Amino acid sequence: MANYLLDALLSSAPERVVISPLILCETIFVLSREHNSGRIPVDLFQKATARLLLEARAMNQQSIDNETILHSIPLISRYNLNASDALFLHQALNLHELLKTMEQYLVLVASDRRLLRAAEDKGLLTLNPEETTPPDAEALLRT
Amino acid sequence: MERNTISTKNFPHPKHITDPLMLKAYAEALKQKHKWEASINELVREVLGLKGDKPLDPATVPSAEEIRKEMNRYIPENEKLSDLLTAMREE
Repeated sequence: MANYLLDALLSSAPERVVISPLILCETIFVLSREHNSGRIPVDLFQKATARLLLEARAMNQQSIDNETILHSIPLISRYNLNASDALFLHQALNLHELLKTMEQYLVLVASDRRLLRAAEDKGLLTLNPEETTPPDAEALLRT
Repeated sequence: MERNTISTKNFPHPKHITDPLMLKAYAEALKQKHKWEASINELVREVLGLKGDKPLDPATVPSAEEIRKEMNRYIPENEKLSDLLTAMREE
């Protein structure tokens, strides 16, 4: 479902997908670790990394600065989030406030339950691609 | 073939923007988009080991679906990338 959802969004409206550049570093680190431990060949690591970057190129990106990092810190202790998730949640909240002024709504897509609970507590719409059906996901993303 | 070009297809045409504030925001957003795409292009070239002015052709990179299929030959399907990410963050 996660793949279906992302593929559908990227093919129809990539500009509606917003990512934090940090998630790219984390994902490539995981791929690199799989390669370094001998689980995937170098050629596959390179192709996967290149495809990931090419897909990210079409998306909107939420930039990170010192202020963003500092403002994410209270979310760590309040919701027991790791540093990355606190940063992503703070960025999502910032974008949510901006979009609201234009009567647009943000849907935070994640499979980590702790992050989802924190986002819902903060009033964000959320979508867990591992627990939703394609029609439900499409309906939510049309809101 | 794509030659490190910058896509603006998802941006409205500037002639439709009349508010100076919106125009300024549009120009800034376009500038940031250019920077983002140029940085990504440079990174992809580096990852693929493209030398000199050899053009970047995204069509030569397998699709996400093709990569997932190949990945499944090495990593069991039940080991999701998102789970590996979560585990890495919790380490």
